[in-house]
Amino acid sequence: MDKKQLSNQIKVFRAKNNLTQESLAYKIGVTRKTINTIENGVFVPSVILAIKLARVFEISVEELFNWEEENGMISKNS
Amino acid sequence: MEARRIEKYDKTRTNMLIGVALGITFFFSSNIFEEYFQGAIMEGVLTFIEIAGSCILLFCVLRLVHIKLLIRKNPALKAALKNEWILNNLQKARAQAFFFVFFSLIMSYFINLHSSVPALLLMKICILVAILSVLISFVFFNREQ
Repeated sequence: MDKKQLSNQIKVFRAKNNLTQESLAYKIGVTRKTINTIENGVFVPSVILAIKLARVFEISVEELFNWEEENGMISKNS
Repeated sequence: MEARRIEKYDKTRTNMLIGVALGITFFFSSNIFEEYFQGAIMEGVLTFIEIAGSCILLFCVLRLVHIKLLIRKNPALKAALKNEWILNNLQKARAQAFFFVFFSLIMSYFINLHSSVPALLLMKICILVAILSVLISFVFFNREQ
């Protein structure tokens, strides 16, 4: 999976839930730098970590993460 | 409070790894140069650097062991400081270190074709390259992105 094609809404949902990177990191059991790298699209989290993140915000993983096709077409669940 | 502890230990660990890298560099490099620089003053300077390197290395290793013992008591802290991103960085650092050592051995081979390289010197250089490349690579991958 190309990291550049995987985007996320972590920052948006953090703001909605009034969570800092540090508090979010503590909730799911990682460090703040880990959240930072996931947010910036540098690191692709595992399925387990993605599910943990989604559960904190009480949303689905697909709402939190988005993967675009190589030719620029957005591939969302229909 | 717990979140702050995680960040504190993470930062301390990074600083201590840098300290270990510095200590090892001072220790090994003075050890290597001792054979090539003669004279009382130079020997004195190199001995001082070697002792300083040893002290830095010892302090940082003990501090790392201390942190490890502290976080061992707290499973949540331990899990956070060994999360998948950190383990991924460690794996990448080890892989990179392998190629650094491999490259340095290739270089030593070609240098040895033109002038004889003592085996002990080669070993010291390989050990230094191996340890430094793991530490520096890990600190680099583990940086703020």
